[in-house]
Amino acid sequence: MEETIQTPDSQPVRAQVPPTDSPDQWVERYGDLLFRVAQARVADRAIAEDLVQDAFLAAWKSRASFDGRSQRSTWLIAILKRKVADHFRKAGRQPEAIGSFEDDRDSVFDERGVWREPIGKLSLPLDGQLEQQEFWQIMETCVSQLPPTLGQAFSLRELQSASSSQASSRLGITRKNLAVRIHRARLLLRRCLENRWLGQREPHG
Amino acid sequence: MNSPDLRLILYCQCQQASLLASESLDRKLSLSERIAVILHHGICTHCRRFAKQLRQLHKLIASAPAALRYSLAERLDALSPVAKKRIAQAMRDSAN
Repeated sequence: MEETIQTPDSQPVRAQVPPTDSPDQWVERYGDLLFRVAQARVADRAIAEDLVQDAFLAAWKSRASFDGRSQRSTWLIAILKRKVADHFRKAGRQPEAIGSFEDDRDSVFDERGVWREPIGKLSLPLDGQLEQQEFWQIMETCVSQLPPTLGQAFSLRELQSASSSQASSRLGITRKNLAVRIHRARLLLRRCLENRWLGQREPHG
Repeated sequence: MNSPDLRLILYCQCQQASLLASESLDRKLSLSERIAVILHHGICTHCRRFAKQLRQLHKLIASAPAALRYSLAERLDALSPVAKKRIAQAMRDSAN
């Protein structure tokens, strides 16, 4: 089984480490960083994952040509950004402007600003331990399906208890932008919960 | 006293009211904003229900143990272990 074949080289490393050279070490060391960079630029997590994979493959192929003059992380991020640019060129689209939410919001409200779909019951609050576990599994699915820009805002404020100013400066946006993102995240989450959570129980709220 | 924002109050529809309901969870609304929401809720059951559900959801998340919230945040922010294995394997498989 793959898990049991672990050479010392492929242990996850946290502390100081000599210049590396195994795929497991690279991925463990830089994977999350590259993923965050990709997520901030593309519309969904699956695409972000693919682009991170493309970047690692390209970097691995040309690792001999890495001259070591910059940080490896800087080099990897540069490769990733090229892959992101390629992705948008192939898709024939402009990169998503951060803050351009108009089209999605129009799918929730009509031209008069009224809900397109009715607001149904949601069956909160929860009743007991089992309901809580099930609910949180569904929450995790729904939050992970949010477009990354919305998911990150929601995560900072609601999951990590960051203040508005902390969250907005971390994301590099204004507090108003942050409020709009959180609002959109809540709209989408509510819809996802309505679909999945309700499927399992009788609405009573 | 600031003059009330009459345009906000008179022309507040679901799109605006739902945004204000969301913002009310995170900051104090102005007097005009509160009036706009109250008046709109008076005529719109959807928005009334939406605001109530938002409050319930917000409270549910806020009262969850920190460990649960933070571990969810961490999983969202990172490449999944499955993805990491797949990528490392693809690197090993790539002709080099």
